[in-house]
Amino acid sequence: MDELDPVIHAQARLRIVSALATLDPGESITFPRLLELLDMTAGNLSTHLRKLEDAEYVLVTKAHQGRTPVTYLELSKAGRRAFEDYTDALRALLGAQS
Amino acid sequence: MDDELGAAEALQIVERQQRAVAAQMGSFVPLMTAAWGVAWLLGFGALFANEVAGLPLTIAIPVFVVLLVGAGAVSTYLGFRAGRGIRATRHGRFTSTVYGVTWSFGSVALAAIGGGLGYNGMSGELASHFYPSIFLFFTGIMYILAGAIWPTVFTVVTGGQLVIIAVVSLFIPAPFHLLFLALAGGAGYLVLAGLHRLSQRGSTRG
Repeated sequence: MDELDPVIHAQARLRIVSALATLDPGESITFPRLLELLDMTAGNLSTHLRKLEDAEYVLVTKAHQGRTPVTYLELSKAGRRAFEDYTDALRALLGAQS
Repeated sequence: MDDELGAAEALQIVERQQRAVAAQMGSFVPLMTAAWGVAWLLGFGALFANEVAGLPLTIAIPVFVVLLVGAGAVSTYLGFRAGRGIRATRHGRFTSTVYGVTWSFGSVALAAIGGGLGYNGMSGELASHFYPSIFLFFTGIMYILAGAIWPTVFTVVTGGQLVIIAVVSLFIPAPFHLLFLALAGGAGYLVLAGLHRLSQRGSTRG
């Protein structure tokens, strides 16, 4: 399993990246909505998002709706490519095993 | 790296999570479909009851209008709520706006076309076939387009069903076309809502 991307290959981050990959390229989602979709704790989501952001797989944009600050999240181009490579690698591994 | 996570399990997580997101994003569809089902069943049911059981038009028409407008309002609210927290691309916003405006523009145009046909001598009996059929046809086409723009097979199938009902209703003599619309549309929508809800069960959690 050495060839699998260690940034993605952890249950919580895999769920986050899988969910973000359902958005069209260029679309983004607010932190609370992503939290709702994933049913995770805010602390857990923040921790794993930071690791994905450090790897430059997730882009974090701060904006304002009126006076309320809003954080938008999306997969970067590198993140989307890494996720595709990761799922391709999984399928290749499973194909090789069967 | 999560050493406990095998390749098969990882792929399952990906697929389950993406199904769960799709189900949550589309969780409003069964409720919206059920609202239209109730509106059609009782709305066209009231118009049919006017013809065969003497329900006064002063009751039948308000019931019909209130139910259909109510279902439209429920749909708009649920659709708007489903998109909360998502920031679309510029292209996505343009598509949504054009699609939304087409509903209003098309509906007004169809009403005007009906008015034009009335001006040119369309009878009341023909109008009672024309209006439901043409609005259904338009709704069906808009559903098919929505299913193509935001890929959802369920929406395409529902749209196709509406177009078929619109065409068939023209070949059923009055007032039984109203009963057909109440049952094929209303009960059909309710069955679709139930099936869609069942299909969502089990995939709402990642």
